[in-house]
Amino acid sequence: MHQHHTADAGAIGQSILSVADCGGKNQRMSEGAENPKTYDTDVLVIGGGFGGLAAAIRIKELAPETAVLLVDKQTIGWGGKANKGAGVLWVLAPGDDIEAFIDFHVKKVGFYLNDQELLYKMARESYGAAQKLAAWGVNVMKTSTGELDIARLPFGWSITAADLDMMRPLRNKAEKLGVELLHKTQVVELLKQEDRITGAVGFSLLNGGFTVINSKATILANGDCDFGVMRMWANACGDGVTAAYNAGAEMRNAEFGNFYDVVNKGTGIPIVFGFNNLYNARGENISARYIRESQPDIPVSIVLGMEKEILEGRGPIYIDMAEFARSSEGRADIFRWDRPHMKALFGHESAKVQAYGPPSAQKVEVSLGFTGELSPVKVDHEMKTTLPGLWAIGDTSYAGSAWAGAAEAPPGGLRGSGLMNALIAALLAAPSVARYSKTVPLPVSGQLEIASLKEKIFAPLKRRNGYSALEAIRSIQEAVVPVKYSMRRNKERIEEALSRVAEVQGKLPELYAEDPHGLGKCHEASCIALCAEIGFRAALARTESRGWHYREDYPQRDDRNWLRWIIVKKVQENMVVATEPVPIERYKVTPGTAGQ
Amino acid sequence: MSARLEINLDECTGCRTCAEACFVDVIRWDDEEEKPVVAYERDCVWCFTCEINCPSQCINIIPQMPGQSVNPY
Repeated sequence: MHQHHTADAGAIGQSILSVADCGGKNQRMSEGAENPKTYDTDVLVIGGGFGGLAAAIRIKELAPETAVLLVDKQTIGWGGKANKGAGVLWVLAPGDDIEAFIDFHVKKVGFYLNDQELLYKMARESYGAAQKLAAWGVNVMKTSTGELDIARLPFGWSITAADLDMMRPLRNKAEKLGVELLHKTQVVELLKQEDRITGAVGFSLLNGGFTVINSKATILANGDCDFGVMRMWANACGDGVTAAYNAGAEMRNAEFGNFYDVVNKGTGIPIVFGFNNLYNARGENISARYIRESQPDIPVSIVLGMEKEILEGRGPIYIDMAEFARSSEGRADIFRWDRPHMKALFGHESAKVQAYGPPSAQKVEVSLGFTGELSPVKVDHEMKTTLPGLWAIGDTSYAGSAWAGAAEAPPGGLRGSGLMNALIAALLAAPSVARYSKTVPLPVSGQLEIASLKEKIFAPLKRRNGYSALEAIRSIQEAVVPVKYSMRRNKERIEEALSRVAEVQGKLPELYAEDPHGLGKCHEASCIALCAEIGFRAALARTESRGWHYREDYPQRDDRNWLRWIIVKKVQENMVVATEPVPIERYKVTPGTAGQ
Repeated sequence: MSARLEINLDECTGCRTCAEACFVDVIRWDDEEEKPVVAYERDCVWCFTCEINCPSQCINIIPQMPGQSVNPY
């Protein structure tokens, strides 16, 4: 049975949303910080988004007696990223050609850095996973006869979709199964005994209360790092990536956390697939100039091309919206489904743009919107990290799982793969987590370790002035957003970006916060800075160009030397970069395969 | 990126949906008044979730565009 104890142990799962006890601006540290709330659980899931809820549900389905505690820095059922996108899920449906899909994905998206065994597994699990989602109460698209409704795409795969209210039925399902929910709690560090992860510590965003969670098994499901740039992903600051790295877990494929999309310059809103219809100020079609063959998602060449056009004075760049609409007609069936919540969100956004945004026009000026998507926690086929007792799923480990290969992940070269990755990762992790939690005793956290972590976590609240978290975040954004640092890379510019990151990191010990909300920003700033460093160090090490990683000083793909994954790991206090060979000899699709 | 939030507290029924829906901790809940408080307006990313889901339609968000401000070039 689940137990919780000590001090003023509040009931887990109560809805804690209050301003009365959130700590006024004069309250430096709340009473709660002095008397930690301590929770003991079999399984701790950090992050109550799509993947975290799916994992919690699946563990309770497999092992109902297992105590599962799900914690999130916002309110579970509303947070996460899944309900703020398009709700598309890719599937390998009956009749789809799995071999064609694998072949295409390895050769044209992942460029041989894929874990092909996991790629097969993801593909085979996908259709059943979508059905499982529907069985949990999510509004997944169905035919009139109740079958999963799909739209077939080129390159051997299909998509389906879910409506954007998907988090509510998942939360309801989790609560019904007995998953306990802890809202508004920001996890900062993992607890560790020898090499094993034994829980986590954090604090309440509402009252600044110190929170200690002892767990037999822990799942990181709190997303990747989007560097606080894009609106809808503002919460994805690499909290889990940072916690895993600081605990000593290995990172993989961090050089691919540099995603850009085409955005409306006046609003900042992405124009998905808009990369196909771009014109420069002279009216020249630059999509035709820079895109050599049909691509499933935005290619590196158009990102570099857009920058080139601007730097050489042929900007600004426009999308012809009439042409864009015509070219999208072939994709119309993707969005033929009736999804009221999706329509409400995007319809509302359009109305607000009309009311408060730039005037609508046939020629819309566009820019590049940096998203990042650094998702490097290395995991195996059961989503186990390199640390015992710790799993990582969803965006936390999308690139780190390596099934997508040399692709920006998410979306991993395929729109709709983020949701499916989170869902399948949850389903793959759940049996392993449930089994493991039965084999180890409940850990007891050491008082000295807890006291030291508490001191470290709350330090910014003790300073009345110093370095502002918002300034730190802005400075990191200026180091990661420019194409010259994150896409048109060379040794000098990566080192320049790293020195900008180091300058911020040098000032992080001076971060100050006025209240728990500000304390949260301080920790997010630290996470964003660390993730930037991890990404740039991996990019510096890969002295070739492959997939979504482009080096101006090494413009060719180098299969002789670089069929290797880059591994980043903390050793003592140093960030160590190493490589690991891709076991290409075990795989079906190789650079030597005929017809590549 | 930021926004201005207008909440008509006279129309608010005190259901707490807006405070729960806010994924960036902008809206907090005042237990005594049983009403929402716009606590950290500067962090609003105009996702509109609170506004769309408010049963009494008493929230208006005025977005500050564009949503991205760092020059990629």
